[in-house]
Amino acid sequence: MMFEPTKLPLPVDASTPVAALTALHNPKPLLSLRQVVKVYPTRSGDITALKGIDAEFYRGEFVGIVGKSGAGKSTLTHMISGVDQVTSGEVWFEDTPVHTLSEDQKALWRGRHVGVVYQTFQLMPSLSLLDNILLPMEFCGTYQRGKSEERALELLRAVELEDHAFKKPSAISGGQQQRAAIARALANDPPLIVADEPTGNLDTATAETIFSLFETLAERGTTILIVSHDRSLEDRVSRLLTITDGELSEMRSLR
Amino acid sequence: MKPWQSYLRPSWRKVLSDLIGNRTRTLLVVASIAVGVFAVGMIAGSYYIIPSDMNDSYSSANPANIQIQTRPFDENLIRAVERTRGVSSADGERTVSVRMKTPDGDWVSLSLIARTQPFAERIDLVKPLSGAVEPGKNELILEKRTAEKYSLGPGDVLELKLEDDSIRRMKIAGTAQDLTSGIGGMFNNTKGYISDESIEWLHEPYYFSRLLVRVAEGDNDPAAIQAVADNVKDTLAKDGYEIYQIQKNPTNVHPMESILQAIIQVLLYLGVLIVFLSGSLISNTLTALLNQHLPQIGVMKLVGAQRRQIIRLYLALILSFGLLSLVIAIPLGSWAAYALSDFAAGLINFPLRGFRIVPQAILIQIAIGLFVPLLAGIWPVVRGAGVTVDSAISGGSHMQEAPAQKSLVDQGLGRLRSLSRPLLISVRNTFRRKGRLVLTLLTLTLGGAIFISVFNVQVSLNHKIEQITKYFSADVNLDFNRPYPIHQVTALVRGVDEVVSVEPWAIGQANVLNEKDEVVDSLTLLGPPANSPLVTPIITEGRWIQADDKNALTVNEAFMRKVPGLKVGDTIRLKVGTRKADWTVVGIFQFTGINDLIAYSHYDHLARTLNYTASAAAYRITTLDHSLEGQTRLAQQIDARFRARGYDINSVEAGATITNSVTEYIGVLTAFLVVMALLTASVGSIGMAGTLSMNVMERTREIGVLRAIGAYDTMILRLVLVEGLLIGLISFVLGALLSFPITHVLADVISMAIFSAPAQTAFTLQGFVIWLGVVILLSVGASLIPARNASRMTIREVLAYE
Repeated sequence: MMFEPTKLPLPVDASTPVAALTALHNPKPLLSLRQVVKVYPTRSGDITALKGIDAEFYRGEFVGIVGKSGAGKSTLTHMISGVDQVTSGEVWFEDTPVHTLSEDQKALWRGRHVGVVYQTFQLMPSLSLLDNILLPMEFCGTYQRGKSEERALELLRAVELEDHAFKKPSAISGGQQQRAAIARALANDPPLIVADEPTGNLDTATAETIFSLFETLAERGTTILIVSHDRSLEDRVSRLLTITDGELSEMRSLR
Repeated sequence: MKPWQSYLRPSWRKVLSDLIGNRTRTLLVVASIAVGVFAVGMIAGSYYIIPSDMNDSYSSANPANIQIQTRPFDENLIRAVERTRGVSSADGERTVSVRMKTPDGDWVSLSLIARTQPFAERIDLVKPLSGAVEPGKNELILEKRTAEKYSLGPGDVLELKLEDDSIRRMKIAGTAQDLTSGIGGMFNNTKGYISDESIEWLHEPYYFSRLLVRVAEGDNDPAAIQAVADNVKDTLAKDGYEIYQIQKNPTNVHPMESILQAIIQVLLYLGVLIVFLSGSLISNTLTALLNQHLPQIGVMKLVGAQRRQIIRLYLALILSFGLLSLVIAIPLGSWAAYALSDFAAGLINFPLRGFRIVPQAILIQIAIGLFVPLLAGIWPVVRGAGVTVDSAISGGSHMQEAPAQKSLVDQGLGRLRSLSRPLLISVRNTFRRKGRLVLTLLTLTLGGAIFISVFNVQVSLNHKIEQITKYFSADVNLDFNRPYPIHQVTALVRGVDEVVSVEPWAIGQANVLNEKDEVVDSLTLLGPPANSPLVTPIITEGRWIQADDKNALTVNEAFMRKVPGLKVGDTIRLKVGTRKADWTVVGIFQFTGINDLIAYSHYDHLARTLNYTASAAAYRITTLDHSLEGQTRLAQQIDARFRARGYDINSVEAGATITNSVTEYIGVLTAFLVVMALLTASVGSIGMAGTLSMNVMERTREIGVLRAIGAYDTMILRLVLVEGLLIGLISFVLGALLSFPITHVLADVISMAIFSAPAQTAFTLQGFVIWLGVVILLSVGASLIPARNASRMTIREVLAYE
């Protein structure tokens, strides 16, 4: 059965397409990067992965970031999601200076405001799909027995995995695991989803499903940032950034 | 998900899943905690049970506070002592030596103890076990050990051969347990109890030789006992009795308590060591677990987990390991504590109050079972929880910080070029995780060192016994109740086949006098011929006795403790028989360290002092066959020969009897130590098995790559086996080196406990060889399972391994 993204539970603050549209035209960016530099010291000398990135992302945007392998795509997602620390520059999430937060503060901020999706799914192997989705709610203090489980099941139902709720990740296919990972990313209703090569391990049909899911989320006001080396992304996103050698060399709006 | 699991929060379900999801790992961690907790439970439990039950049984037996050996006395002296100030009651004891015919038809010595007091009121009560409580006239109560040894009981009739070779038949009225014998009772335990009315029926004159006294007040106070002992000494002196030996014991302390405490103390140290080893093992396993869980920690942080939340989860996991280990170790430890106590009770001869749980031991176990894993795991957990999301998820594959300079070990390994490639891989793999290697080596090395040391300690203690036998080298000790002419005895002994030599010895008791000529102590004087080959003394100062010595003594080191400042050349005033004279100390010899005063003078001089003229009461005989059997055979022949001619024999004993008993006792002690060594070795082997499994598990992907480029199964198997063997052999070398100081300390502590003297450390190859074999077997065994698993996985499985 084909997955129907319209069944997704709606984000809290963008319950209608109108609201999402309003959000899109809100002049205040959800996320701003200011002169972000990331340098990795290595045995053979320092490698600058990001060379002073400036960018702004707004509510409801569906942004694609493309580039060749080693261009700095993943590093950029790490800076945006606070998974890694900038060497210099600033990352602002609305009024929160993410670049100044401690590891623990970043973890809590990320859990509440950013859903991260990886190519390798990164589900907890020892937990069921349901528990995987409940875990962010528990860690971020949004867990309430009964209500949270209801929401997690709703999310699993939305990604067509309700029947697999009590299975471990190893018992389902790669496409299903990625859908579970997206459901987990949505657990705390984050306004921003960052996906690093989310379809890299999936076949074309499954990849199509995942993209549809993201499109629906973006239409309902969630900001989606997808990183990929796949140029076919260009047709689906509202804005495309190209990263080359650590610089955002091209930036254009497609829609 | 099971219904009950739904009540748990998702994070606790993760803890549960980690606990039961990887059963082998859980088993490994739980086993490593449980070994330590078990050992501590066993030792702590017996530490509480043994002294408490032993002292309780001793106190309940109305034990003598003062025991005095003196010349034969009758009831008049007992009454006089009873009237002495501070004395509550007094009794005389007489031991009649007879021989009894065992159910197998052998004749063995039997000591029959007679007293004046009724059994139920007497000093040094015996605990009735079966049959009559009190022996009737011409009946006996057999002591528990003798009854058990020869399967005798109430109603059986014993055939006894008396001193004059006449035969008496005596009915066993009951059996009873002696609750008050000290270490002496362990070696001389063929005995029974008779009423004083039976003494004359056994063709013995009615007298007593040992005075037993209970004090009226302060029976637990050594000073109060000493004061009463002084009063009793005065009473004896007034009636002209010399004191040969005096012993003072408080009521609440069993004479064996200090020895036993020292031995349990040693076991306790070993238990603590095992806990320490199991702690390092837990730390090793938990570090590996946390490394394995890094991606999961990364994911948890990715979805919002803060460091403290992750720390809490893993500490809960560690506590669960601890709780599981307690479930195993507490019942096993309690059982083992009781088994150990029961063993000790059998050895020392006291009844246990029955199986019981010792709350203190369990509290210690709970504290150790929970606290040690937490302590061992806190660092790996805190470090693991502090990892960044990026490095946790990428497994460090992203560009990393530039590492510090290569360690010396790595530089050394880099220079190993002459080895074959696969061997080189094994060597490098061994040293790859240095922290883990160090902890594994620590457990195996200490386990091995203790294992080897136990064998060395046994040899050292046996050396100590040999040291004792240097003073008692005779094959047969022939002692009469009065002196006989040397030429007569020598001729008769020489008439027996296999006799090589006969020596007359002068043996007597003397009193040590102070400046006012008051008796302050008593000593045993031994007078072998000046150049006797039967004594090989260990002289620590001065010299041994010489033929031209007059009033010269070589004394044991107990004098140094009792007369501080005593040195060679000083004089001691002695009363030997009725003669008071000054004796010069010409040398000090090392004996076992016992507190009794012993001094040697040569036969000629001492015999003159004791008024023996060309006669002696003690003869030391040597033969060609030095085995206990040979000695016993010769003793029987000599005994028969002299008895047939009407000699008044006190005893004819095989020389090796006592040393054999002591050796047996030490064998029991070392058996305890071997159990502890095996426990430490098992901690080491669990550690090694864990380390190798973890090493192989972490390298699964690498093994896949090796196989993809052509490494065949046997080669993979060999890689892991060589790694295991390398760890085993390194630990062996370190353990062998460490065993030297450990042997020294252990041997000293035990020797001090038993002999009150430091040991002369000795070493045996036995322990080294056995441990090498064990280590090789362990290494191969511990490597085999992970190696086989690694070699069996297909390349696809291995490369897909996460």
